[in-house]
Amino acid sequence: MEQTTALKKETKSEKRNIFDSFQDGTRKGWGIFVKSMLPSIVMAYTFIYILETTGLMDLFSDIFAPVMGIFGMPPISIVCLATVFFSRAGGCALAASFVADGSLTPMQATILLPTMFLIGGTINQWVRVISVCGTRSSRQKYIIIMTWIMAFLSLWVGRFVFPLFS
Amino acid sequence: MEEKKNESSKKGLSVVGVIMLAIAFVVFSGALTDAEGPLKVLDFSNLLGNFGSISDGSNFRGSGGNSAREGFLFALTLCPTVMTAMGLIQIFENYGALKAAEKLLTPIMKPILGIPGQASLALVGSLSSSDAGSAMTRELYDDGKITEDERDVFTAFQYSSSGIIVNYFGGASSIFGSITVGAGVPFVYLFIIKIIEANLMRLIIKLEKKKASK
Repeated sequence: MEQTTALKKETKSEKRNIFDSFQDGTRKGWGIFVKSMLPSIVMAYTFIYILETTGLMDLFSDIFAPVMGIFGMPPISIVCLATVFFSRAGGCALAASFVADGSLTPMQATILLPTMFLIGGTINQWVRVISVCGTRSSRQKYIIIMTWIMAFLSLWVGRFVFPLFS
Repeated sequence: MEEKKNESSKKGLSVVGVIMLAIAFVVFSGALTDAEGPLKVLDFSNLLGNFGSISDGSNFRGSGGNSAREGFLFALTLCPTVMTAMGLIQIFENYGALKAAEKLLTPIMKPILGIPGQASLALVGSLSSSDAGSAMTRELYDDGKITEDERDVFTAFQYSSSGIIVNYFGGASSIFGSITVGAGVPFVYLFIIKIIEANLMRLIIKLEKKKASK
């Protein structure tokens, strides 16, 4: 219960002036960058170098081309989806680098973003959300399957939605 | 929780909070990216600015790198994005944007999610921290304020894109410069998916009960 109270306090914002608030936030951002983003991106780039050099990237692309084709995405997008299992930040950074080298178009990256975000927390959030909330075990599978179905349906729906806001 | 609830219900909807919430939507929507004059400061990508170029139009990252060293320099280019995003979110949070969201959500939670309005604090908490949201949900259930079915619907809502504010504006910020829409558009899209998933869970529970009663 003590932990719950501490967590609740976290959500309670302190009254700080606008400059202090901004600096507090940037410090949090720096923490996220150093502890999560930087290691994830270095890992993702090293991982991609290994895949490219060993030829596994081409192999994955060939194997998953038909599957990703169903959703109108290029085969290389499977590498981003595989990476988000280890780190959402790493998967997003990879997608950004694929846009930079022309492997993905900006629109494809836009469509891919919600899918990466939805499947990225599959294991981690199972423990942190489903288990902590105490969801009935017979219903846990529904929550996870639903998220995956929505993630892949989103690849179709996003093709119609995002161009409206581009 | 009761004390907090009473304290929260005593305070009305803050005007500053609503304005901050509206500004947050505008800043992250990308609507003012191409605005002329002072209005352009109300856009996240404009606030981020640009790196200066060193030679041939390249910034400090250069070109032609690969593997860990390239990853390190690429990550550095994203550091201002995550710092600025979190800085802005902290301002919006400290000036009552989340509290305003909580107040606005309370009356509509039952119709759109099937969860009582008193869970709105947990809902808003879950947007910033999945741990805070799930711990508060557990407590609501243990205190008998939500039923088992409501808890499971709420879990479905929280599980999808959990801790969305911090995780999205922190973890996904590397891709903001490469997408065709403002950062706020996929955020709203993901939020709608959260609501759809909660309602699918409501449907599953309803079907489960129907099956059991036969």
